[in-house]
Amino acid sequence: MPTPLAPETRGFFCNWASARLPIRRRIFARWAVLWAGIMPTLTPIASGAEPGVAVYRTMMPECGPSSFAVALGPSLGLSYDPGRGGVNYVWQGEFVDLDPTWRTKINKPAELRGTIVYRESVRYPLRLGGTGRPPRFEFRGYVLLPGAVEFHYLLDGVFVREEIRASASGRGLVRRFQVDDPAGPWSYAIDPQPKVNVSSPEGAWNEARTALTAPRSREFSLHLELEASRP
Amino acid sequence: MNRQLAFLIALLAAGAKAEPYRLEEITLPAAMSPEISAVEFSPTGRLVVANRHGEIWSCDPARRDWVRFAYGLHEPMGLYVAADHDVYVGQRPELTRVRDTTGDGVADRYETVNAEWGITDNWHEFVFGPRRDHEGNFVLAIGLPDTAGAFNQLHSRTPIDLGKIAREAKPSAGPWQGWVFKVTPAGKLVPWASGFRQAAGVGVSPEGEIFVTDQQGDYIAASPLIHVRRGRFYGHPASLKWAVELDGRKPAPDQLEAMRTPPTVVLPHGSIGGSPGDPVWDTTGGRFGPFAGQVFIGDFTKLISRVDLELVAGEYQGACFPFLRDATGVAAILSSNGANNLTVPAGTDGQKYFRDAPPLQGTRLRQGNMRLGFAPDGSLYLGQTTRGWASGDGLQRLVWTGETPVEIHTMRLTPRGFALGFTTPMDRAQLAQKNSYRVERFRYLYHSAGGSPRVDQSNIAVVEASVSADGRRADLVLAELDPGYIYQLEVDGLRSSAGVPVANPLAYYTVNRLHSGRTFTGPLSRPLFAAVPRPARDRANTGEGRRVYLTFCVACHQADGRGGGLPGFAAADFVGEKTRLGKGDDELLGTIASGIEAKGMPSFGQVLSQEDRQDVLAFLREAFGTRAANTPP
Ligand code: HEC
Repeated sequence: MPTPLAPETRGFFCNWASARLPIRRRIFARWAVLWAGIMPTLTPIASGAEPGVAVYRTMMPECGPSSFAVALGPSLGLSYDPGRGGVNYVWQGEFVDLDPTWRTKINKPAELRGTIVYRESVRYPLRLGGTGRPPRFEFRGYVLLPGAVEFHYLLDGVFVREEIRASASGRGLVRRFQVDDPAGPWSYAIDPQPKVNVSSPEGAWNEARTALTAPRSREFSLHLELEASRP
Repeated sequence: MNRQLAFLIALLAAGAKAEPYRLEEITLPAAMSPEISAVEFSPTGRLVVANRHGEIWSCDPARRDWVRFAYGLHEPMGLYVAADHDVYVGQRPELTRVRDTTGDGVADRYETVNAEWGITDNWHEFVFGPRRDHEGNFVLAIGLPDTAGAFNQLHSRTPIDLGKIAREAKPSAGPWQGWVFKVTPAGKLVPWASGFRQAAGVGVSPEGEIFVTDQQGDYIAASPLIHVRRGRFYGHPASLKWAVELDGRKPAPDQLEAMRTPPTVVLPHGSIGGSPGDPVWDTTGGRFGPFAGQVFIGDFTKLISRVDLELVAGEYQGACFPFLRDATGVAAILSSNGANNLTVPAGTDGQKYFRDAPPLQGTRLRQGNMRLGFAPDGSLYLGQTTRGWASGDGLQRLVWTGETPVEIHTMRLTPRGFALGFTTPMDRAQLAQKNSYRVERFRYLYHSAGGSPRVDQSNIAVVEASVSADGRRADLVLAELDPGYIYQLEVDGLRSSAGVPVANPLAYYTVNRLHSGRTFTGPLSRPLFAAVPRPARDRANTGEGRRVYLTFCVACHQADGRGGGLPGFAAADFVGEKTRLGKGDDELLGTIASGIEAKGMPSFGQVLSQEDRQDVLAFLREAFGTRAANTPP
């Protein structure tokens, strides 16, 4: 397992800075005089609303086109798919290396610097209002909040806000779904996850343990916690 | 060589007088990637730029107090700055409104305005714009992808039609690729015009008309400036796949020619650059010199060009001129004889320079001038990005020093030739001499090959040259004036009444129509579409198979053939799971053709020909695997 990085944002920025080194070097060769003058006075700027949360729309491996890479802290990353809808996967380790998406003319997906610990199935997993069929997903954007990102989308025309933040333990994350006018119960289909414990304070597993369901309400949340003992 | 001589004279003359334009370097913060992909000014006069790493930065142009407004966007190539805290950005997947709603100067809301076009993460699917028209619509363009890179088919947002990808270098994989389109203020996509290859510059004229530049390549003989009118087709047929009125029918080559609207102003390849970016209109009211109302176009080579448009028989056409060129590497440029105009030659330092005419002295213009923006103070900002095609990124600006440049100001069509306007009074005796002007004409082919040689090329005699009393206008009568040609004008020796030579003594006028309304009716001197014979084959071609794999399979199966991730979802691991390629050819070919829908392996029967499927399987075996179970070793 990759070593978690400390302190908070440094690890992330180490990647960021090194990812950009080749470009910097090139620039340096040309504009050495100019750059030498200003380089030391500037420091990297915080990338999210708060240290530790960063949201990049990019090319992610094994995801739909133009998926998100979200850093939720020093050692937890998540890919969100705005095409299919939902989380592609969660990984533990450093953030992604974005350099392959920028380095050459024919760019390549970002490289994961960690181990995938959670993955969702091909179909969009959230069902609203008791309909069994997959809803039509339409991405509407996102908001950077202190320590969190909130994705916005329509599910069969119903506006959903999904806030994602690191859990208090730092070894997992909390996804909070909100609608203004709930039409019925919530249901979230999940494949077996050997490395992550999935639970919902509002909901319960169905008998087959294939979905978490919760009664009709404006809010529903999923807690994803890394299993303590397993690698 | 008289060209070298002319250059030396220009150099000496240029040394003797003040330069009309000064090029300045804009230093960027070290934390900012310098691959500048958008340059705009906010209503309060702040400079706002985007870069290809997905950031938006802004500053007061006088104080250069840079702040990062937004980050994490997917290769933004255009901005519309509604207010300092409210910016619309065209990124690969969508048009997004980025806002600061907390008042800290940093964006917190990224709202999707429209995302109705197809994307596959292919490297060449660039999105350009937005510009805003007079009705408040956003104008954007999407380029065609390129089969030199992969197409990601996972969870596609819009129906992706892969049918043609295997056969064309530049296909249109998803809706509206190869189109110019509008997004209404309410967020609806309205397709506007088709036939574009890679419209890397989008502009809206002060009159509210849409113009784009396109890139030389297949079907696009030389990069043009195009006046985009609703419903028209401008040449590259891949985009026609989505034309509702064609309903999937593929027009025959001669129909394409009839459907096509020819380019408004051709920017001859090599002479007027190689790859144009933004067209911007000089709306500075004279603060940028004597070219108010004209169009400036940045180019990937070390060139900024200038276009003078006019309406002739109801349609725009006009002339283009070099405007600013770099001073170094001239020897390399001059030593190129210009015989092959399909490529812009590189100089001895490996950089590509503008060719054909002596350069303006004393500049250090970089390459990659894809983004231009006029500042409130009338200076012209040049945003540069070169990734993978060359090197040198950043931001420069051009300031008019107050010195009037000696230039051909306008070149307008008359019933018998051209009227030339000059920025300053010229030597009247010279203007009146017919041999002060060298006129040639030529045309380009419209065909599927990349670029075109100049064809039907001939010298045209100037039969009369008359001069206005103030020495600022010359009227040329030509021996032959016909539509369908590009007229090249060279005035190397011309000087102003003060003895200063014309800085850029070269112009090209695209004559699509005459004042009478007469247009080109053909025929072209060569057939349009020469059939490319397919080589005979006696066995599967692993080289072709590799291309197919990198285009269609690599997104899931990965470059190393190991697929990945958790069982049940991820693509097969050809290397680790020996049973995969252990199966026989027939079985595997069947799987590739019909897919395994439940597991997420798509069917390629409709997408790839049988030969392609054999090729890709041969490649799989060669690259990752064991031999077929039923094939003797
Ligand atoms: C969208 C993702 C995806 C793409 C694109 C894709 N595959 Fe697959 N492929 C899969 C998955 C998932 C499996 C595993 C199916 C299973 O478990 O049986 C698979 C399995 C296979 C197998 C093994 C079949 C078997 O019988 O074991 C072959 C061969 C194969 N793919 C070839 C290709 C080729 C060739 C291409 C490109 C032309 C391609 N795949 C593109 C997802 C994909």
